[in-house]
Amino acid sequence: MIPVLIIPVLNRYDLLDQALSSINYPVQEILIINNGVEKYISKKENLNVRVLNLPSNLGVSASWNLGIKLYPHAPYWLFSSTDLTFGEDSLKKFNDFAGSKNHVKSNVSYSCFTVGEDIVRKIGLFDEYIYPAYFEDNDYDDRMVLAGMKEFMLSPGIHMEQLGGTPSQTIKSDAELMSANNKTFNLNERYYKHKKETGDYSVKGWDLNRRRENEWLR
Amino acid sequence: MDFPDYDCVILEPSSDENVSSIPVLIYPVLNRFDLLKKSLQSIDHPIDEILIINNSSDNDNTIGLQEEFSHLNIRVLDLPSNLGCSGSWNLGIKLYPHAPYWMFGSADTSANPGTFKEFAAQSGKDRAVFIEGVQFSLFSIGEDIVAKTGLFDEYIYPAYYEDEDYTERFYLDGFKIHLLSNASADTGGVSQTIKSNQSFQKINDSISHEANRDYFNNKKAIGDYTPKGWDLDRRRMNEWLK
Repeated sequence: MIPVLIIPVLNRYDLLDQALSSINYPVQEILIINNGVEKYISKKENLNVRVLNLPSNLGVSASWNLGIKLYPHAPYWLFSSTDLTFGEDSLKKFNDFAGSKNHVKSNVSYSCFTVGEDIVRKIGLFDEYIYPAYFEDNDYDDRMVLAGMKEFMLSPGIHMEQLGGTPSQTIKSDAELMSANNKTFNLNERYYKHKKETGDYSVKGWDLNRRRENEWLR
Repeated sequence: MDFPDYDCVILEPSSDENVSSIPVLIYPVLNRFDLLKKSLQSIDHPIDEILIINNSSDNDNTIGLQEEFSHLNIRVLDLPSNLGCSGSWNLGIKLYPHAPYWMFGSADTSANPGTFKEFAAQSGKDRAVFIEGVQFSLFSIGEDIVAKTGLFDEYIYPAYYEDEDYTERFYLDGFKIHLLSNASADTGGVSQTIKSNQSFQKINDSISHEANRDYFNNKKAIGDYTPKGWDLDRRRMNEWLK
């Protein structure tokens, strides 16, 4: 059984419903971190779904981190975006390959992945200075490689069906978000590139001014 | 904790009649939801939003709360585990990033009449506002402090010494403790959260209190208050809800 599946969502609740409907493998608890303005109520009575309807957008890093913090005893955490469906045996494969040591990605990379407890223990959490989205994943990969954990980064050919490509459906579905992302993408990229150039991957973490500067939902 | 080692600014009673609302009041709660209700009943000044962070891992504890207090704008987050004190306060700050200041309450603390109005009148972006003797059971922290000092240190889990640590840090950053002279609250003396649960008391006494104290004392001894932040092993070691 998968211990926990964490899904942050900002909009397109229709896609979230589709994603949940496609779950075909036992998951102990599903955590929906609703960062959007619309209240979400799960209709999936056959699944153990917990919804946190938040008053603002925590962003990707902080949502993933919140999921880890809220299930501190899990051997690994599975994360997913809303704009994909779990095909055939994808969840079973995740459970087979995941575990405490590994970081398992599907064909859609960080749109559906696991992180094991040994990795969180050594690498720590995602960098919340990166807000609200993009480059938190590159940063985490680099930190793993730098810590000598490359051998635990697995891509065992798990196939997920995802709608469209980059940018995500979250952004594509809202012109305002698309415009806001044009700015924040560059800021996050600059921060990430600076880390890469200097080789200093210290985690700055959540910062009030950065959070305000990169606001998407005004 | 007390504030004997710090220069404090005593705030004279506000004479302002047109006091604006409090932007947000954040309540982490682990048990004693009866006391939380009593605390909510003591609110006598407009608050834009009240965030209840239910750390008890039991959703039943908050059923009916919003209906019972329909005159207040309450949002409840029923969490599957205990984020702890630092983690809950930080979550509140992160979720209301545009607030000029954040006010925090405790389930076991009820304000006396006029206290919330005083907080609303005297809180501000560069102030940490407290009531003598109540301390971190009912307080506010301004945006300038969070911008400079940062968040509470989540390495400290689940409770105790996060308050002393933060006080040291914001004081070293040049911010003052502001004490309300015209406000009071009933805290019941000791934390009812622990007093009401033998298991919490036992783990706090045998593991987490000492671990947090040692961590804080070490910071103090070396004069380096850099937050270590949330840590998986530390979180697991100091678990209260086994």
